[in-house]
Amino acid sequence: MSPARDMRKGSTTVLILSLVAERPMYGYQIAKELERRSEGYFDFKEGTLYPALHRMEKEGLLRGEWQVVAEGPSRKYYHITEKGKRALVDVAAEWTTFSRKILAILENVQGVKPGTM
Amino acid sequence: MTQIQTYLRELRRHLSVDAITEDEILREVHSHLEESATALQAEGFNVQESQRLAIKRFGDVREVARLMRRVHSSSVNEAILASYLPVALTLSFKWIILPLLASMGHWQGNPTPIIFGALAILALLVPGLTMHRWRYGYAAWAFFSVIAIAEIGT
Repeated sequence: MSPARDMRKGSTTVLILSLVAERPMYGYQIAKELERRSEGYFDFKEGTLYPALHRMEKEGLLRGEWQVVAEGPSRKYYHITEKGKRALVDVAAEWTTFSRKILAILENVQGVKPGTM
Repeated sequence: MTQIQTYLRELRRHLSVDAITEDEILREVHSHLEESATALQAEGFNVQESQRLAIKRFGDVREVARLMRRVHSSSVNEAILASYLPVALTLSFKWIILPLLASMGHWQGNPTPIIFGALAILALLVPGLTMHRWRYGYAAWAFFSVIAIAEIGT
């Protein structure tokens, strides 16, 4: 697994929580929003989103609710719970600190030229 | 049979989760694939191509099933364990606690029907009151509840 893919995988929970915190969404909508907002960076297989959603629902971070749609199959909308909101705040703070620290360390990387001593 | 239906059939074959969860997963995946294919058709793909592409974007059916199994297998185990509660509680009262009370001389007469009736009903409620998403074990719960009720009368 590439480092980028590894990092994306680790960020699934916080990304889903942050989207669903804005408004209840269903799986396809979440996949498309992630793709759109990341400008295609999060090009994961859409099917891997559902195990993550179900895991978060089981952990009590999300609450699923089926809604009948006039045309086509019904959709399961995911709502963020109070526990999910608290987790989002915590995880977002963790990610902010993490990325700040990494950036501080990587500050001088631009000056590094491969092949030179 | 459409490509989406074939994909769903394969997914069902590999899921190995309880019937209610399986139904929900298939409904959710079906909804996703249909909407994805419809969007692709709007972009100009024909029906066959749009379904093929929607499935490709969704991912390998075995991998999706494997990840789903991993999420839901613990629920099934928890629920089956919880299903043992009615019979475990009923039998422990019948075979251990009440004989113990009787041997200590605190118990008179034959309290079986009323006491076991009340205890069994309480025990039957335990999974529902304590287990989150206990629906995973409906079948096992019903089975052990019947055993517990049968024990009341013996």
